Amino acid sequence: MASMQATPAAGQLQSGVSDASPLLSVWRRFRRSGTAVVGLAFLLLLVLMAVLAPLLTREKVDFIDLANKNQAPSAQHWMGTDQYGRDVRDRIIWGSRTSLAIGFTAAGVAVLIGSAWGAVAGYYGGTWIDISMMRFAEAIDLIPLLFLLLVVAALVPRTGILTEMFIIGATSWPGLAFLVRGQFLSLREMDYAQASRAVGAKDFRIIFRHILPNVVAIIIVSATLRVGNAILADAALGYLGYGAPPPTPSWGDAISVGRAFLITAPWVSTWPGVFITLTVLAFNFFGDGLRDALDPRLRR
Amino acid sequence: MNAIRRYLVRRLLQMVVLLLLVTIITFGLMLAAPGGPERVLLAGEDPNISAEQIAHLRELWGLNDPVYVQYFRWLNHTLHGDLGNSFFNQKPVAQVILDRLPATLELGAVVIVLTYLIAIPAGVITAVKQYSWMDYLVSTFSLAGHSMPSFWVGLMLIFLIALHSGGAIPTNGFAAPGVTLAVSGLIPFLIDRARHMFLPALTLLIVGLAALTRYTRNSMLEVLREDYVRTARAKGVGEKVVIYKHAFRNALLPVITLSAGLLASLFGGAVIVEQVFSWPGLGFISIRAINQRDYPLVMAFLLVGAILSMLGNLIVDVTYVLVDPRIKYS
Repeated sequence: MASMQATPAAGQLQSGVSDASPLLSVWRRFRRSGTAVVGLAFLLLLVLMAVLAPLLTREKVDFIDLANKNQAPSAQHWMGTDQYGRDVRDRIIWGSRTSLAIGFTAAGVAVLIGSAWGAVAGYYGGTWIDISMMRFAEAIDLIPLLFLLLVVAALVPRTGILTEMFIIGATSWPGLAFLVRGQFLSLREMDYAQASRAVGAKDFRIIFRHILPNVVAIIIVSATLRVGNAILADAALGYLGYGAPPPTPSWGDAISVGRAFLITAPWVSTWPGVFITLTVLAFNFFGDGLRDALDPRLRR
Repeated sequence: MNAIRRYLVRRLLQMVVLLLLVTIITFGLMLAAPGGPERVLLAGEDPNISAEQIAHLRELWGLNDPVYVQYFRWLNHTLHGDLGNSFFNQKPVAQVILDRLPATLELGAVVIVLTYLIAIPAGVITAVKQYSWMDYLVSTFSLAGHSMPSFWVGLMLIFLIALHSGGAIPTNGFAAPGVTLAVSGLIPFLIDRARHMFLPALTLLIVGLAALTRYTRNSMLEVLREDYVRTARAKGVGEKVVIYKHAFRNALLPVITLSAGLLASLFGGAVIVEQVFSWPGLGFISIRAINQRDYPLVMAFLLVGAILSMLGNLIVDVTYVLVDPRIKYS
């Protein structure tokens, strides 16, 4: 973007800001939303916590100390202990690694499959390629997500973190395919795509070198929001027992462990849920702020 | 009118195609089951069954036929209403579904009605009073609700309300044993049902209000900026009339599109909420069926879920057609 100096003309407001670079203006717009910045800050702290987990926790992941089971929150155990004597706070810190990893990767898988699918379908919009691809995506989209997740998870012989990532990603991509296809359909008609074609560039080249960068903004925003949804899906799977098997710490599993002791030890189920909520909320704030910053026209 | 009719017919044909695709996906998933169909079908049988008997049963059940033959046979049965038998319930699948459907529909209907009754006014009011403290409160709470895991909300509600209510609000179940319309009379019956539905419905509401409220609010905000609203104000039309007569109706249109997903998400969301509250509906049974690897039942649930979503989409399309005169159907 060329650099522009805002010279005050008669009757014209001076913006006071020169459009130095697109990235900088995006950041400036982003900063205007208080909630978005808070979301980003929280996420950075969360990632820091996950990375520094070995330093922040006292015990390793599968430490069991039955003598201390179901202790109320105290100076020694800030969030209490669960029925196996595990410190809830430690479980949450270790669990953040699992949840963040699964969230990011699952969203990434969904974005990869969905964008590629939508890009191809959108580029060949109107032809049988497009129609059949989108019908298939729509069929998957029709099946309620959690149910589809459970069925696929039940079919896999052994669930682990990797399979979970893939399952969540492989069942949630249709939405993104629709988005990307829509973008491609409208951008396809624009001048530079036609000019490229006139010069003789191959279809493949046109898709990936010319059109795709313009839909990147939409994909990034959608991906951010999807991480939050993936974390919720992972929590649901973990709660129902179809997530990563114990002793892998996961927030969903932590909640289910506390279910039987809801009256006597409510802290076990409460804290993991609080953290899931805060994390997903942070992703939602961040995603909203990102969307507003990347395209002011989308702002409502 | 003819254009509309043609459009709807085209949509219906599309839906048939989609349903066929769903059946193919469903059947494919079933074939992918570890151990193959015969292991699945023999799940309830004697584990010492001999290899010859397995081979015989494979022949008997047509499991050696090519995949597409099996698929068409299954499709044929399904279209005639025979969805197979549930292994563990010892009943035809169709009957299991019909037995459990009312409970889920009851919960779903109540939640949908309440969601609309609360979310649309909330969305309109927060749009009209944008940037007020009420706006920020509602927006934050609804976004928070959307970020909470539904099963956790259910558990928290059980803890906060049910366990402290001295039995007034039960933690699970559909109705107290013995309380029926015939035995107890209308009012006690309704109260009992309401008591049991209170927490599951509240859970689904907390999580589900967010989307509709935000959408209504955004749609209303956009409409309020439109030229015709400014014109109405300039003409001196009272503010209330501007809002409710001009803006509101037009703001509803995008809200209708969102409603398509509501029906489907209700079924999906109810799955885990029914589990938490032991609400004896489709969702509860479906989880049990998955745990038990009761494949005929599971496949039927996939189909039912897809059909419900599709019904939601169809209702939305029809409503849109009837409501918006600007839409053209080429």
